[in-house]
Amino acid sequence: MKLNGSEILIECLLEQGVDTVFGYPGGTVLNIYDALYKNSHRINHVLTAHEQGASHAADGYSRATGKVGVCIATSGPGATNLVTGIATAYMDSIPMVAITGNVAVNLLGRDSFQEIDITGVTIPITKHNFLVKDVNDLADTIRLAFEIAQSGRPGPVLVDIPKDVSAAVAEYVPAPASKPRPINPPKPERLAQAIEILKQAKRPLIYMGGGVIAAGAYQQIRALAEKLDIPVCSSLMGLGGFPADHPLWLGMVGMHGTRAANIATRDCDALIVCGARFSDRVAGNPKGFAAGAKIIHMDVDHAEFDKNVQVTVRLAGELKEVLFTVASRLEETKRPEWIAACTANKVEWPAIPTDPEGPVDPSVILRTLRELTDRNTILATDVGQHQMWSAQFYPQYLPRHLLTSGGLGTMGYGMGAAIGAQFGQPDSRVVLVTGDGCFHMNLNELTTMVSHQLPVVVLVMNNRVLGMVRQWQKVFYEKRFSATDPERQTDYVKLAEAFGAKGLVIAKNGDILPVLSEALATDGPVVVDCRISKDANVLPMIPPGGSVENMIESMEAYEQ
Amino acid sequence: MSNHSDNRTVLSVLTYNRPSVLLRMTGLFYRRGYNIETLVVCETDREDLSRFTVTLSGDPDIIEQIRRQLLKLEDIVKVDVLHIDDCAASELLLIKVKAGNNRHDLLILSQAAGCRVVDIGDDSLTFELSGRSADVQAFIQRVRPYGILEMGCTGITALQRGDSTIFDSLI
Repeated sequence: MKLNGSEILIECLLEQGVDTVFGYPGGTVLNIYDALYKNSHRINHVLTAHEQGASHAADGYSRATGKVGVCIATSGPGATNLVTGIATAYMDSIPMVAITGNVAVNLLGRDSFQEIDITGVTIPITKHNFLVKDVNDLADTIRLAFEIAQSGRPGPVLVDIPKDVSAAVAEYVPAPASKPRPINPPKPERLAQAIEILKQAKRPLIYMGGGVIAAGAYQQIRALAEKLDIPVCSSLMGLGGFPADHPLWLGMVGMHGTRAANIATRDCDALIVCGARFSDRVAGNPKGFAAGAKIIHMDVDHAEFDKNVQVTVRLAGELKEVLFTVASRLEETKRPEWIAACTANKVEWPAIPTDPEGPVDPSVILRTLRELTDRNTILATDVGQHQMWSAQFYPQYLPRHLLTSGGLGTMGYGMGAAIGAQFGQPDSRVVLVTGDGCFHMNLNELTTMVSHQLPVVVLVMNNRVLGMVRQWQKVFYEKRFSATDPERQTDYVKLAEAFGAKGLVIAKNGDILPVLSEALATDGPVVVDCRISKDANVLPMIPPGGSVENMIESMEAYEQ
Repeated sequence: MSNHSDNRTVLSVLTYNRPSVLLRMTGLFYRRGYNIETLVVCETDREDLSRFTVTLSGDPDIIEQIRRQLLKLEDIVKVDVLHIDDCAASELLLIKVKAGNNRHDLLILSQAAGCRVVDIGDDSLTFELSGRSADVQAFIQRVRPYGILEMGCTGITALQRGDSTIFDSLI
């Protein structure tokens, strides 16, 4: 069958099971958009307000569904606007295929209008990328892009298609969907070594990360923890991979992690690290991290071994299989004393204040939201204080229900991610928790939510300052609040209404329950202005480079 | 050019013969903070494959990190780690020396070093020398007093010793 490049692209996306793409049209993708128009009954295109929103939407769609997210942008500024979204996906290992147009092949390299070397730009932030100069290579390149995006440690792949290639005609031969490449199992001697360490261990601990979610290894990690009675903590990226109401759950580890998780990493004698990478937000002091423990590192990416922390045993492989094999070769164990010691460090949350006129506490908003929403609710966040409060006070019970930029820390990620998630999981409730700083970065995507009447609840934790940076200025810069107090006068209710959304306000403690209830009962986008104190802090906090001994648990105590 | 004596490691990297490989590889070295000392790129007797020979210094842990990072690049087929003293390694020097009244001495020197004279100017001699880094460095030191006008040197290219090759265990 003879098709033009754009039609071949659409057919190849359909081969891969793609039903929704996020994008923005422009000169060099006119042919592609023409093919999208003709195929609109087969593939849904979601127009965002800005290409960055499209890239985050593809990412959010992928995180919420486990499928490969797809975004499309034109050449030049369209392509560069995708960059932050691609980098966000790269840092969090999210499978994504970004399609960009480019100027015709004979205009490449001549600084033509809206020309940019986007493959050159995105080399450091993609697993791989392609510039397709011949329409006969297009179909296989798209297929390979999907294969690479899903194989091993997932990540984004970019395919740059010059305008003449999207118009040129070639023979199209259908093919099945790309499959991830097979992964070699770990070496038997290393498995034996890991088994031996776990047999000897008296105080083992599991530290898991986003790799567990990428691999879908939730059952296996739970089975290992339960069989060997091992407490579990996780990085931000791993939240939801282990149910937060499980007796073995200690919470998030690291800079803003729980006291229980951080003390357990200090006290354990064997640490199973599963799909995690000892980021500086977890292991602030890599030399002192789990210093008394033998470390077994399970990961699909060989380059993660010994990168940040030297480990005792490296188990490279597919996590489901590695976890299953390890668990199957060990006897059931009970270690009540170690579990009791770990759980004794869990800190109870304070009682929810009852004074209706009292101030609005962000943790109370999140705890109330948790009570009002079911476990299938997807929580997207932006980056900063509200992100950490979301991790701390909105416990996750299921994987792929917390969408947050953990690695790159992208302010402005949340709006796009929430849109993508709502398209990917139309039956789930999607809530975005953002801050007034982050919301101002990409609030233009409200227009996308309104166009599609997406019932996303946007909670703006409005402290009128750039809270996390300000908190660091408070702790490390003697309260010199440089550029964190922008004095913005935005009226969030009017703003929401101007876009065609609903706007609500939480101004006092007594508003929290009724306003959240009203927001959740609304069938369309709602923005809630949550007026919190500018002095609310994220605690506990381990300063950068520090360990659990340096943990700040109360700002008043720290300041004295 | 510095004088190493010589704990350098040679990475022999087999890649697909595609235009962006050099950019992808050097970009990886740059952003991970690894320092390349020499780099030689050439075709192989297989049309679809190229060989990059990279020399670098660094402790074995770093070299192992580099190897693992390189293997993540789609274009890279295989990475062999060779120690410079345990492989067949060679580099090529072209050096233009002021002749003056020393034309005769220089010719004797170059002969002893196993050089080829590739050009004779009115007041210069240009030599070509190939061999191990130490020999090349020694020759440069010997002719320096006569006045080096300019020189160019390739990096090291290397093959493992014995019958084994980088193509072993390739499909």
